[in-house]
Amino acid sequence: MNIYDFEPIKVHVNEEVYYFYFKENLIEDDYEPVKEIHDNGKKILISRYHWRLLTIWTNLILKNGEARVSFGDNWHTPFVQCEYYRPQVVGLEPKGVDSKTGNKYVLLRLITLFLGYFFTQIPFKFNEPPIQYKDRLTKDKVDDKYIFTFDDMVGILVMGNSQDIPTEIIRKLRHRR
Amino acid sequence: MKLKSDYKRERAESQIAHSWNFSKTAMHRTTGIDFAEELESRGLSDCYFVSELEPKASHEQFEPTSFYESKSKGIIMYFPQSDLPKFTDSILDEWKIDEGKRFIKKSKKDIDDNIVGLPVPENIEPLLIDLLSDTGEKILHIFSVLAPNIRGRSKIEEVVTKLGDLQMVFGLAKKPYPIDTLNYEVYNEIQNKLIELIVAVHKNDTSEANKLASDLAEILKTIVRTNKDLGNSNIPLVTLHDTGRTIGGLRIFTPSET
Repeated sequence: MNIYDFEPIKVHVNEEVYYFYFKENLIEDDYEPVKEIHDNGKKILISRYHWRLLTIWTNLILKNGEARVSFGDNWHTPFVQCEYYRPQVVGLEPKGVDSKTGNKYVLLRLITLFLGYFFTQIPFKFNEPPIQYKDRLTKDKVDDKYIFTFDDMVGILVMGNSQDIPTEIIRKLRHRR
Repeated sequence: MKLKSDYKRERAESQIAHSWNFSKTAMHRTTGIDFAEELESRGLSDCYFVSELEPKASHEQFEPTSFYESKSKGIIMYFPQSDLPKFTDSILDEWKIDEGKRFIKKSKKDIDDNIVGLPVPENIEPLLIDLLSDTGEKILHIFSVLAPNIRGRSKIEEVVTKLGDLQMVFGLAKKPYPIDTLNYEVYNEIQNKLIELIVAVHKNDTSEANKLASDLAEILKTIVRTNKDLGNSNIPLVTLHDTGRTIGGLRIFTPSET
């Protein structure tokens, strides 16, 4: 994938996930995981927002076959260039009294924050040429606490078509429940 | 040195400031009146405009929607940008404050009947504002003070009264939302748990009361923690409509205006 705007210090590649490492405010470690998935011949990117929202980008605009990712805000949130952005949200909690009400509230807040920021920042910076990061690639393991897992996710934000969510992801999320 | 939370707060504030300028300009251009002054003259102070974005299905894109908020009054008013040219100085005759302290457009029936939104009881209003425009800490504090009394079965009358107030807060919070939204669902579930807790306390069912109190404490702590961590609690929640469709058994929602 091609990346733009903020330069990562390192890029860890663990189990096909690219962890773009930044030093947030020069204090905190910040790993932004992005994974490319090929599903039915289509390239899809998945990323993580504030730890608990799985973000899936479909309908990518590719340049020379590469997706374009901008780390455009103070938190280096990955924003991916797509043909269109039609947000849909997939909830992970069932309806009913035994559901995790708190998780649903977290989902509402995360979606509010993401969309509020996302649509005020368009267009993102995709100024050519992209940032070169081959010399920053490393296979060093990221700390366990930064691993991109679905365990704590409260929902999925699909920027595109929810029917394009790979079945593998849905299966993993359902087994997590 | 700035902490992460400072940056989050600053970002939210800069968005608001940016949007305020945008909307204020748009209002002047389209109506020729200073809408903020007009509202302030009617006793709504500390007002500003912010904008959010809503999906426009026909174009599969988003267009800005503005909402009006008075922090001190906890009043929020939504209107699509495309409606701006329709704004006149009689706007307040066309909108009403509903039970959730939101400004909503009057329906034809409302206008015909000259219905005005129900007033929110004085003791409930600050809690409703706390929930809708702040972190929810006041509500959590009230609940935390009640918890030992629930466990120890003391001051039952006071416990029931205050739980009644809290359930009213969540009952009012859900009202502006359609029933098929996640927003309604969340507030409704909390309200139901509070009602169940009141019943359990009345019935002297300590085991059930303790379980419900524990569940509620966890939910309220999650709300406060989330609002503090994300730093955007003053921005109204996006409304998530249940589409009725599922994928792999999981529900699909679409964001839209209230």
